[in-house]
Amino acid sequence: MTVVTVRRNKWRALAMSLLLPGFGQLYNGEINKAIWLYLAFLLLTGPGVAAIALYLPGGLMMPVLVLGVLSSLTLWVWGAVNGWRAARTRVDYVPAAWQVSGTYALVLLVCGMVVPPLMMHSIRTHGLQSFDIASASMEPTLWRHDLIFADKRYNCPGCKSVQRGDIAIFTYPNDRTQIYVKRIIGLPGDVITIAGRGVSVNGRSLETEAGTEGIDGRTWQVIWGDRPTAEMSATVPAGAVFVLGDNRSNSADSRQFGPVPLDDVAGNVRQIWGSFGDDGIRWERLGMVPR
Amino acid sequence: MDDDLDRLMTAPLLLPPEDFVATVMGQIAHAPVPAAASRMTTVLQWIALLGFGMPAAAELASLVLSMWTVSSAG
Repeated sequence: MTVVTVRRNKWRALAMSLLLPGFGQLYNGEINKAIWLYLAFLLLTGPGVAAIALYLPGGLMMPVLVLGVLSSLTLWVWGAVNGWRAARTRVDYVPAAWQVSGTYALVLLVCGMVVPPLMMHSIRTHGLQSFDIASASMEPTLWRHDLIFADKRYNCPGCKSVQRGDIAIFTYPNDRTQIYVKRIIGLPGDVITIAGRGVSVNGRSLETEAGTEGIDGRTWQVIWGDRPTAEMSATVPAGAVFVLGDNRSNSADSRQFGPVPLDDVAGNVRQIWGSFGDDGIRWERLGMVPR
Repeated sequence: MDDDLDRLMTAPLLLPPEDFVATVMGQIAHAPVPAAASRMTTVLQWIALLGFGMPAAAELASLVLSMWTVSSAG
């Protein structure tokens, strides 16, 4: 019986590692290192860093996520260099029985094209998602084209519950393809009264001083423009919340489309990580934690 | 005992059988033989690697940036 030996191609090992972390190590026969490299990359890229960021105070979310991206890219490059260097030393290499093109294709398919999209969907649905604020309805808290992180562990079993004053992400009731961001003003059973420039919840005015509102220990600024606001009084039905934009005269909210089903509330705004105005990047807004 | 040693010293040397080399080499199961891949095979391997690998790398890049990829919220 004869055994075929091959020289491992260092450039192929490099290319394979660049296409998928750990793939070059697999080509070099270092199966254990390949598995751990791939798992470490996934952890750093997705759930690991998201979990850390979500449990930290809002202000630390952005730096941790930046660190996560840099770490995962560093690991990716390190893996490629390591694969390239290891391949150079394998001159008379005896390939294992599993080292055939079919195995490599299957690994690429599963680890490269199935696992990452599933993980990405899971993170964006149950962990963390970024949004571009498309309207001025939440000014002065959120400006148009602020880019924000939203915590998706919100309003679900074991997650943070919905509270008055939260800035929430929800599905627009009249067009379920659209996502809206507004402030939660009323919880189920609350009586909301809007008269002139005043909002009351259960008979208690939200206004603390001119242009500032507050409830349950939270305060935020609001804008009442020149446009008159329709007076109304309503009780928030069970299983729904009453939402308002902070820019009261320029916001489509529960005054127009009614209460929002609690099931449609899917996220809580945590931090601004980008902001773009007509003059370019608004640096002063980066890292801000909206209140 | 001295007689035994003298007899051994004067005896002819032991010679291996004629087929010794062939027999030993025949017992060696793993005789490495370098494989020679044709140029066409190499090219096809590269095409397959990049063809499968580029979409996978794109998916991974999307994953790295997943938390920074924005959706619109009005």
